[in-house]
Amino acid sequence: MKVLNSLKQKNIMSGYLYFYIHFITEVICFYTLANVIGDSIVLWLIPLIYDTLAFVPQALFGYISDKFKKINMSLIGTILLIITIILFNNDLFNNIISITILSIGNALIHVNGAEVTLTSSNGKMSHSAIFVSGGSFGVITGKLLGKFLPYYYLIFAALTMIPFILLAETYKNNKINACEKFNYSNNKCSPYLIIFFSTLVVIIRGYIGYGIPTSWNKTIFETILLYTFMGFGKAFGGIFIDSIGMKKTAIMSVILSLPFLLFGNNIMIISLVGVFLFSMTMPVTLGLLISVLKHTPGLAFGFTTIGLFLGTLPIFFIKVTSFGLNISLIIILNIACILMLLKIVNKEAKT
Amino acid sequence: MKEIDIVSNKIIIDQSLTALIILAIVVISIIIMACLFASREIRGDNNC
Repeated sequence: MKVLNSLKQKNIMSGYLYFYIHFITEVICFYTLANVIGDSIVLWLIPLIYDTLAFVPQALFGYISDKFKKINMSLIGTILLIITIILFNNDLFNNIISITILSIGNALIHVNGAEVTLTSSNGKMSHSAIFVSGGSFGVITGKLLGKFLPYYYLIFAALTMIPFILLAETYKNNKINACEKFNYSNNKCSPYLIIFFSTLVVIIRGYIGYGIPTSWNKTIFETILLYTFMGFGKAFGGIFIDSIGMKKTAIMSVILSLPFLLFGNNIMIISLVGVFLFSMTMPVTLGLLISVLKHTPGLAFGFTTIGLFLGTLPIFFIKVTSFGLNISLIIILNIACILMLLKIVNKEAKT
Repeated sequence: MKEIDIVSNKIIIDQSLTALIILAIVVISIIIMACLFASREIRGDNNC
């Protein structure tokens, strides 16, 4: 019942609107990435450029957006996505330029989405969690559509975002104290420690996300299921924070996910439950960061994306091939997450 | 033909390294900026 009530909260529409905007943004981005094919040895660089420029500058754009609230970053981002679609062709150099513009457009839309959903939620996490979950569905849809959909359809998809962006903007609260009700972090802890530990938890989540043993994942349908559970995990993380509280959600997501992740290597449903639970840590960390950086929600969101970038960075350079080492890393990193979250979560936070 | 391949591969590797160094500088600069902004916000909050 509490979960259902969380879905009927005031202004929750901002979350649903940005769910769609985020979904379409990722469809465009991953469609483009899926189409950058060739034999050149520099091609591994393209996903790295995308990850770097889409994730890291969100802190900077977020801070600019926090200070200049009237700028609609999503509209600028949408224009950049459309420019990318027009520029894109089979030339490698041209595609590197396109990917750069695409990444910046993606970052701007994310930042605005975070600002709108966090400032309109009155201290609740469901709004931003629903917004963030749209990305997982967009990533897999973009990858799949990249194989057969003509490229110009994306211009139409990008244009459909504009009315959603304008409508969502009406929910944005530009008051300086819009995020004052976020009190999920431990007041006895240093704010610097909370930012550091929260970002570390995101880094670990990013790393484990790619290190989870999923040898069951062999078909397109199974990949769709994996991303679907990831998306639902992020959304329900926020819904659970609003219904059962931050501390219970944080502990449940990290402790319960561990056995499911470890023993789900060959059994799909066990692994999917683990992915669902582990994805719930996303709104947990965002909630902790916004509790410390109440006047700069864009910057708070930027710390989570920097963490995600740093967490996924090793996969470009290192591949852990030993199953035993991978499992040991997941156990050690999960325990580290539990200890850090126990330290920085506000034990008395009201739900 | 092989010499041409070696030379062009070397150019590509050099370009990749340059791109990596530029990306690393971008990442480090933005992380430092984000930390400075956060520090400013926290100190600002404390003064209130």
